[in-house]
Amino acid sequence: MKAVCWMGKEKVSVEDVPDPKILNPRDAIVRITSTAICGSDLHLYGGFVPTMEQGDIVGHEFMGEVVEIGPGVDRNKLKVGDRVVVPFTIACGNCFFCKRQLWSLCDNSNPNYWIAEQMMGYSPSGLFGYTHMMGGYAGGQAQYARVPYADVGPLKIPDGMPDDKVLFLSDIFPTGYFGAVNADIQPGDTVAIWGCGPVGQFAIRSAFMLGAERVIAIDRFDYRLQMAEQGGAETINYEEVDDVIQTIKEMTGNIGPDSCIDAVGMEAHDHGFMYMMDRTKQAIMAESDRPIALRQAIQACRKGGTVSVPGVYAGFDDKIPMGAFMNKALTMKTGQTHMMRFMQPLLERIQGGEIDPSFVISHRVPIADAPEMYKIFRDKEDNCTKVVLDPWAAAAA
Amino acid sequence: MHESETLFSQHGPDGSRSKSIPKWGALLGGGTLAVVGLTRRSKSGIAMAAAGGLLAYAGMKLNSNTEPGVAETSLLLNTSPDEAYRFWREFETIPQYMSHIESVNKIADRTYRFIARVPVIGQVRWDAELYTDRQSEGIDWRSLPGSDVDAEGSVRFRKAADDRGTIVTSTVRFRPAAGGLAGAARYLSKSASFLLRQNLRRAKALVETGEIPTTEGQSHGPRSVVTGVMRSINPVKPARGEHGFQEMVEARRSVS
Repeated sequence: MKAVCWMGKEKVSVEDVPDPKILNPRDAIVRITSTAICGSDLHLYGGFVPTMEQGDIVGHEFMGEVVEIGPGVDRNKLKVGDRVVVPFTIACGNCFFCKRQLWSLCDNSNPNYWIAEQMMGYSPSGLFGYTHMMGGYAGGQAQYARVPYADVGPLKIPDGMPDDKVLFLSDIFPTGYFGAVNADIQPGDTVAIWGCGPVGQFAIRSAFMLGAERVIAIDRFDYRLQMAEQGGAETINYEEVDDVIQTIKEMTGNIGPDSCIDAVGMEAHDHGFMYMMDRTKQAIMAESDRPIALRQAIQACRKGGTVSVPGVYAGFDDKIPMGAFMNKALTMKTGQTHMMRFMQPLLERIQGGEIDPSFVISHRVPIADAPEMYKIFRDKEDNCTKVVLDPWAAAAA
Repeated sequence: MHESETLFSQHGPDGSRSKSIPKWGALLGGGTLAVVGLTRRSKSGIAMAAAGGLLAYAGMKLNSNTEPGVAETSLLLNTSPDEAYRFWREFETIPQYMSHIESVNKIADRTYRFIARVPVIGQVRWDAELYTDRQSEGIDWRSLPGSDVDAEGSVRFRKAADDRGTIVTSTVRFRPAAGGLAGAARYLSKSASFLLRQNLRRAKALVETGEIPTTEGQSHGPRSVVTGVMRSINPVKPARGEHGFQEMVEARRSVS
């Protein structure tokens, strides 16, 4: 089959690899009909996250048809021929954490748990198409994928709903929604969101779903800010203002947003001295992340407010303003998304016509074009917001 | 407090465990772990996967250090103490979750023959006698004279607070045999704690999910030459920051 493989820093290629096989009793094989490139794939692309290995198949946003199931899969929950969206977190369904709906913290699904334990104390769940620290599971930017614990994660999709509408239930829609849930939004609240990429876009719309009255969205690309405005947000282009925090203060009567959502993560951009310091430290591996959005979110948040962090961080971060965090009595909530908690309810919102997640798609290309699209997406060329790959389409001439 | 809980108390809080805590700088460690990640899933697969564990057993046999080695670890299982006990008590199923154990057979009432396969040394065999066997509480065993390994161990099952399941604590203590390759043995025996933890993890997954998570045998694109070499090195034993590259090279030598 064809699969997008990580071949080194800033190098991905489409390779012919063997089709996946059932390796465990509860595995299924899915023939992938649509798959997408995620912003967190760009962290891997840029070589910012340790424990990648040349040849790894990437991709964690995918859906398709079940073509094979192992003998241990509960037939009442999944059978051959089912059309499913596969969540990017892998969960066993029966450990302490799964039983408490903390799916992304599954205690059993990461075979390389010990690497994560050394880095974080305890290991979160395995993830598709990510680092070996997160399990090293082959990903879904491919024609087929092996899905472990197949009777737990995959969400069955009713006939008649096009891939484009439901594909993003695999990660970014629930992740944006989880970001808004974690922001503890009360009716009438003002929410500030850093980053207007796909997760930020879904966080904006989810914040309104959860009762926010105002959403302030921050980015540097006009085409993304326009998309945020279409979602009802007021916007700040941080490259056009002197001071983002001051601007937010002025917009909120000097009280600040009730909640701040960092939908940027470890590769934030900014201007000025701190940004250059972070870039330099990251380049010499003295710091793994550039937590600029997180610093601003803490600084800008109103006293007693909540900071929610759906943006991905990988390691150790400098100069987090703990003094502000503590003295302002803030709350922080974060985590990889507990996917299975949100997929069904959000599918129902899509069915009900409340939202059509396909609005984020800017590019639809054959899988052969993936290497080029990684670069275009990374560099935000061609107004790129979201790239959907067709694993079966022949490459354009 | 019954006899077995004091069995290993003479060793204090535990030398071998504290040594396993790595003193690695954040990112250097990450880099090293990347290398470890590479070694984990070699093409030669299962045979190599067993090697680290096997080496630990070689360490038990060869260790010429006069200090006894102790490995201890515990995990929360989402099951009752009774079910956990019954799972453990099926000694014949041990090869399912202990990758280095070839077979376990009952040879007499309360006595089991363990056979492990160790590279360089070959088969390692010991007969274990259960000298404590309490339903839902715990099991103690010790090797009988004439075994290749001089070891003893225990498993305890304790109901966790708030109906969270069972805390399983497993301890293995092994004494040095006379003579042997001191240097190699010191390296090899470092694996014991890690190995025990791996095995307990696998047992937990088997109890809770009916299978052991794996990526062994999945598809991937072409690996680099460096990756290929790294992957042929002991994939079970982690090369932590404190050991680093040199020790992995040594491990490679000792395997070949």
